[in-house]
Amino acid sequence: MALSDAERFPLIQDLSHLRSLQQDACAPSFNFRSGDRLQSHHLQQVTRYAATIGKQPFWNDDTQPTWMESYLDWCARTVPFYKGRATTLSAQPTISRSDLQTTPWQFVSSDSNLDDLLVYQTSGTTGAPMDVIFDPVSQACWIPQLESVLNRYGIRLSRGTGHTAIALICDQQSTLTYASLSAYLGGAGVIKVNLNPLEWKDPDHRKQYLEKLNPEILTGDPFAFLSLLALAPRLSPKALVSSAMKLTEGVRNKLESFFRCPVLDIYSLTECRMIAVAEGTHRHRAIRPELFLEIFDPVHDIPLKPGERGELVITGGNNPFLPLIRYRTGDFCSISIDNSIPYLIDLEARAPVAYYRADHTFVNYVDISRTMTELPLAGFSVHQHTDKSVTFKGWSSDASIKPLVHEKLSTIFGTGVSVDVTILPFDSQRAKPVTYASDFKI
Amino acid sequence: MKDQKEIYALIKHLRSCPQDFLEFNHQPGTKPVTEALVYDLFRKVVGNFNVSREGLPDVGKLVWQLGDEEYRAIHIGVWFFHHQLFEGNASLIKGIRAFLFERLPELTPYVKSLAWLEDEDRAEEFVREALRCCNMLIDGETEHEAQDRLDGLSSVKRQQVLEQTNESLARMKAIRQAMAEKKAREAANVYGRE
Amino acid sequence: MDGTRDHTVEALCERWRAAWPRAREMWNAFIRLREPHWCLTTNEAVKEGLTGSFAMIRLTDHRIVIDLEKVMKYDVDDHAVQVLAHEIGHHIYTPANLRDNAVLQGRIRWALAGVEDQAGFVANIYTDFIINDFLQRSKELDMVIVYQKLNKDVTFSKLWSLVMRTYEYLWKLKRGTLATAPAFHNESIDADASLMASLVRSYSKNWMEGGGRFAALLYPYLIEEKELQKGKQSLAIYLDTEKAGEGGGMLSGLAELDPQAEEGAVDPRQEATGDAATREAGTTFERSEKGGTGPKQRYLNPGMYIDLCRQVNPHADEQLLINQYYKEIALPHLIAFPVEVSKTSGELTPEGTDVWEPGDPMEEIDWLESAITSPQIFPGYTTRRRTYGEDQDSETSLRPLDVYIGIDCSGSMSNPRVSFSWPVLAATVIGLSALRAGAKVMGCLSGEPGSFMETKGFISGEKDLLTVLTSYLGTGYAFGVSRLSTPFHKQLKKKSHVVIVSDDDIFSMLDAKEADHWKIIETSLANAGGTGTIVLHSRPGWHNEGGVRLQRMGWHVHYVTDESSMLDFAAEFSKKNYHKKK
Repeated sequence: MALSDAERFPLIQDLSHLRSLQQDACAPSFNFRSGDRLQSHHLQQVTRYAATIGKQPFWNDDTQPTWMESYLDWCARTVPFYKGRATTLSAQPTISRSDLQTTPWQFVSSDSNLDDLLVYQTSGTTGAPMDVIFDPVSQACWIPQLESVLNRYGIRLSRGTGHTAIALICDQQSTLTYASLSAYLGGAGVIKVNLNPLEWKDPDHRKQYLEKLNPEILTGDPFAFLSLLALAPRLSPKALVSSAMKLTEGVRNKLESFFRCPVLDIYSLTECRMIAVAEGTHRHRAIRPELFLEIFDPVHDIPLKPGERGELVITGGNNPFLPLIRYRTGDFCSISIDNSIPYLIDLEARAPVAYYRADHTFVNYVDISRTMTELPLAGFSVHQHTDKSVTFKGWSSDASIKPLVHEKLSTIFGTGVSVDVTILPFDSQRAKPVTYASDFKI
Repeated sequence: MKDQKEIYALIKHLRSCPQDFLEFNHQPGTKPVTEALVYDLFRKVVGNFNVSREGLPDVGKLVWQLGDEEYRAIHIGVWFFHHQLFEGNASLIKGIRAFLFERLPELTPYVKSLAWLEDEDRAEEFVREALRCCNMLIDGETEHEAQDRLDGLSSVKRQQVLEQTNESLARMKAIRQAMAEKKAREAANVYGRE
Repeated sequence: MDGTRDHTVEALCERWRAAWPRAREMWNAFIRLREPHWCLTTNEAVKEGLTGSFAMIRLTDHRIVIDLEKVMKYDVDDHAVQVLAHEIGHHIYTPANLRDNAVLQGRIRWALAGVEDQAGFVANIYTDFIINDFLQRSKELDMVIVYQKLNKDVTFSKLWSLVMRTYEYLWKLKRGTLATAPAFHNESIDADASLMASLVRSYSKNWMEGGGRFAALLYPYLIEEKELQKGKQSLAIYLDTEKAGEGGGMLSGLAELDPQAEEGAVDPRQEATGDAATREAGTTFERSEKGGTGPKQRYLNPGMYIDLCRQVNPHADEQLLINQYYKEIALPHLIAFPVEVSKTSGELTPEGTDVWEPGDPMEEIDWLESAITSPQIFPGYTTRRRTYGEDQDSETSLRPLDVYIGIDCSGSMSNPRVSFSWPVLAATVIGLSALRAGAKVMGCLSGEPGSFMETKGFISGEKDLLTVLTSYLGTGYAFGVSRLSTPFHKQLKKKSHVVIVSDDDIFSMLDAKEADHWKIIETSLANAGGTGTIVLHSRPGWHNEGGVRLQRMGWHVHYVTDESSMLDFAAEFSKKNYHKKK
């Protein structure tokens, strides 16, 4: 049974704004329907979260957040994965993505109401695909998190129906697209569009539709922003928010001079959403006091001293279906606490990998992840060389998928790019990574 | 032939339990027929039909405390021990008594009496439990093998294992089902998601 | 071993051919089943679609395929009767045919939340148990030795251990006879294996009923991806029915919910402990998901229907499946097939004669007229038949009018492939009823401004019609009124009814400035010559003015406040216009 709009938007009675977003003459053919699913008790929680996020203190080098002990206690009592664990942080081992991947249900607290459970399936850009479970509240808290960052620039999102608050911009072969509303923003529009011309009745509609809506905030990855820039739309956003991969200085400058607004680079993870926002070129300021940050030795379960560089490990968050204790992010940095605010120094996370077709248009690696998710692959690596030829190496127990992989990659890269595929036998003992590499720089 | 303890033959014997052993009406307050049956069995095992009750283990009190399910199980047990294997072997009396009046009542909460006959694995479990009480082994089996086989079949043990795991299994299933359902319907807002 | 034996694959083939009749006798010497397709090399077997195992069945052409090269490799040369009897069992006992195969997998899917795609794998393991237990215990075939040989190089897994432990329970084998990896033994697997063995025995006669319970038992072994992959790897050599339904035709009756599937998806572990509380916790979601869709909530949702059909036959065409889905749900609401019309009131009056051609009914030859034409009879040349005219007043002389069905397929409509769609069902009922009555149908989906999709005029092909009706656009805001101009820009020779399904937004379309849609809708109805109905998903009175204006033009405006009443309208409309009176 599909959801009805009443279930998608329990708190929004008048959906005429939604209809106008969906049915505009220039609207793309949205392929998904999405609602915030917030009921009034949920909205109260989001509002409460919004009120504390900017005010709650972080921690210092020698202290732990005040919430830590009761949080660990709650985990040990109600979360099967942490059952019976000690309630001191120092006693906790680290966990990694593969723990979440194999048994996501082990992380669901017995306290939580399964009626609130929502699922997001990642396409596995940094590893095998994973189901992330969350609830409407932790989902909606994305906006107060964003606002807390914007506030520092004196930017506020307007409330009320009739305008478009946020537009998520993508440029991919295929992705979910939708028009939606946010009860937290009083019914303001939130849209997700794909700049791939095939999704529009007329390629010019991309620009026209966005210009008509003139969203307050544009979010996307650097590739999508570059594609948007190429359309030269007349928009007056309050800010651009880049995520998913590192925003290089060059791209940031281009975007800032065109859109004449701040361009923020946010470091976030699917598992816990936003973590930090870039300030200058070398450091990221922590956003959330309820997300404790530590640095660990990449191999051994040893926390490093303040200022030492290692793997970023997080504890906390606000998702009742995925409470994290010392979760290894796979990203590297050191931490410096400045005026009681933690900063990630020299964060090394997801450098953008540039792939090109023969005509030098971008290929988004998300399209590769998405496509490969459908095939029985334990892991794979993709490398594009300077002559644009592509080398693919995959691990699978089914060697017969080779022609299929070849066909799919050829479709993505188009004619004129030679693709070489090797399928290696799958060895279930060792986890296989997903790696992207390119000889091109963005 | 008499000493051959072959599992299939014993199971077959057990499962051929006559209907008469299963049908009994005992009026409340009257002495059940069980007592007479048990003493007849004891006499057969001792190999002397003239022994008086005083010369045999006392079961009179025990018999009064049992419920219908236990009665029926005991009747099945009585039938089983009528097998020639146990005939004229007085040393077995103690074990037989223990099986009928101690072990079987312990098993009754886990196994319905008729299942001992209808379900093949329960029949084997019954035979093995009975033999263990009598310190007897199936031909060709070591003690260790016999114990392992019985552990594998043991309803009590299985029940304990299941009780330990069922709750978490049920929760896991509920979560998985909720996940599957949400995926099958529509996900919530995927703000900021690919 | 016989030292003088010929070890060539050809000799092996001869020995296996010789074993074929004996294998058949295990079931029934008289069964009609073609000899297996003997592949001398693995290459040849791969071409037949046989990959993981050395044997498989195809339900589509009732064939067994044997890879003799692999038979040698796995050292099962001497066990032809066991292997062949096992494959025959799949053909004549379980799953036996395409339909039962699909129903079984449908039931298994209910118990596999999130890993439904493993239903074929689970069904294979299950039916293997049923067959092997019969052969081992009732036919006294030594199946154990086959398993021992095949297990020689196996990579161990929890799932494999469970399966092997279950066989040990079933056949009272000592621990380790088949489950040869002690490190994988534990109490939990033993408990599950023991339950599984009783289940296999209890459901051996009515195996279809046990599928859900079996899958529920297996479920915890399938949900961790890595464990599942290991399990599949270790059991790959045994998989002989996973592809059994591939390439099969369209199966009917799968759109309807299978009530037994719901009852059967019970976990025997919970039955064993009789723990009502955990059972409750485990099924809350099953129940809500199982709530069917469509009329009387009796049907699977279309996505699940497609998944099920695709599971059984991965090559099935999605469009044909979705056509079949709506057709199946429409069937009970169609007009009865028109029987040959017999005259009631009108008199038949002879009008003359015509050539009788071979192929026309014999009794229609008018011998007298034929003889008058020529004394010699040349069929098709000199044979005559009498033709009759109908009394013009007779009701039965009315030919059914064609029908134009226009559906609003704009952004506010849901995709009929993703969720059940009442407008599409209503259109299917009207369309198929009209075709049955001999009328032609034109279908048009329109979501404008944006896009539309229509049949090439009025057609009588069911497939083309359903393909249009069940498609999806999701563009624009309403049915594009100007679409009506395509067939109705001028007076039609053959009259047609017009049915449009839309919502309030059609009034915005009528008022739109780009064209005079009011004029178009008025002349279109006049040119169509039949009745015009707008089925409006709205409340009477919301667009009173517009509604009255349409009615003045001759349109019937049929308000539905609840989408499901579109079906009532469609059934009523079909009966009125396409049900011939006998």
